[in-house]
Amino acid sequence: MIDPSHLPPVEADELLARFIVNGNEVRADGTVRPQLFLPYKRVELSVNRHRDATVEETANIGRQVAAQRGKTLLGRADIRTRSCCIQTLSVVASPILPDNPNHADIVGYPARKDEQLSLAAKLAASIESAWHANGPGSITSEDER
Amino acid sequence: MSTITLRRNLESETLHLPELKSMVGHSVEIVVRDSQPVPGFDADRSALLQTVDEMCQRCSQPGWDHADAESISPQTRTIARRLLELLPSDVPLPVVVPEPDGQINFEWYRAPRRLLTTSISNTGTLYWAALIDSEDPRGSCQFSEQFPPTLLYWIGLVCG
Repeated sequence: MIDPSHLPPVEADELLARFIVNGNEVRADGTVRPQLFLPYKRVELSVNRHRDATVEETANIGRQVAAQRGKTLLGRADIRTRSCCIQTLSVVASPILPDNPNHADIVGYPARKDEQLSLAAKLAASIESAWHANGPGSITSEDER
Repeated sequence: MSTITLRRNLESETLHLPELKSMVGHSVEIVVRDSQPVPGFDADRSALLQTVDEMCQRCSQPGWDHADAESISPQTRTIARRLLELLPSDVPLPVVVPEPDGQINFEWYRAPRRLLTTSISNTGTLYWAALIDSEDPRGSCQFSEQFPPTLLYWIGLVCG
C-alpha cells in the first residue's frame, strides 16, 4: 500500500479500482453500467488506487467496503485516471487512515442528473478490459436483473 | 418545434397524409422507420412489467440497498409502467434497474459507446443521456401520456 507519510498525488496513468457490490451494475458481456460511476448524495465517487498495492490488498479493501454495507464484493472495474479526468471531473487522493491510504475520490460531478448520467456513461465505457470478478462464484442472472 | 408521429402500413411509395396540413409550407425533417413488431414483444413486455412490480416492492422502503437509498415511490412505479405500456412494439425493451435516489433507470444498450440511459423521477421528469460513439447528447423531458419522441429518436440510433 502507499506510504501514508509520503502520499504522492494521483498521476494520469495510474490505475484506479471501482468496487462492484451490486449485480445490476454489470452486464453479462463483461462491461459495466453507468450506475457503477453514478454518485449519490455526494458529488464525488470513491475509487482505490492500485499504486503500491497488490491485487489481494486491493481486494481486501473491497471486501471491507462491501462488508460495511452488508454486501458481498462481486469484483472491481479498473480505469485509468486520465479516463476519469473529463469535462468537470478530476481525481484527488483522499486517504482513509490508517486502513486505506490508497483511497481517492473522483470529484467535480455536476448536480444535474442528466449530466451525471452522461459522465457516468463515459466512465463506464472507458474501463480497462472487462470487469474482474472477485474469485469463483460470480453473479447470477437474477443478481444482474 | 412540433413533432407529429404517424403509423401506416405502406402500400405504395406515394403517401397522402392530411395530418400534416398545419405544417404545409414549413421546412420539415422526414424520417421513415420500419416498425414491424418484434416477435414475442407483448409477452416480453408483460414479463418486464412484472419485473418492475417486483423491483418496486423490493425497493419500497428506504435503505433497500443496505445503505441510504431512497424508496421507489408508487408514483415512480406508475410512470415506469406507463412508459413501458406506451413503448411501440417495434422498439426493443430496456433493461430496468433501481437507483439509490429512488429513481428507476431504463437502459437501451448495444455497446459501451452506443447506449441510452434514462432515469425516471417521481415527478415524471425523465433524465436521459446517450452515447453514440463520440456524440453525448443528454437532457430531460416531462412525461405526458405519450412515449417521448426524443427518446424514441435516440433509441432508434442506439438499437437501429
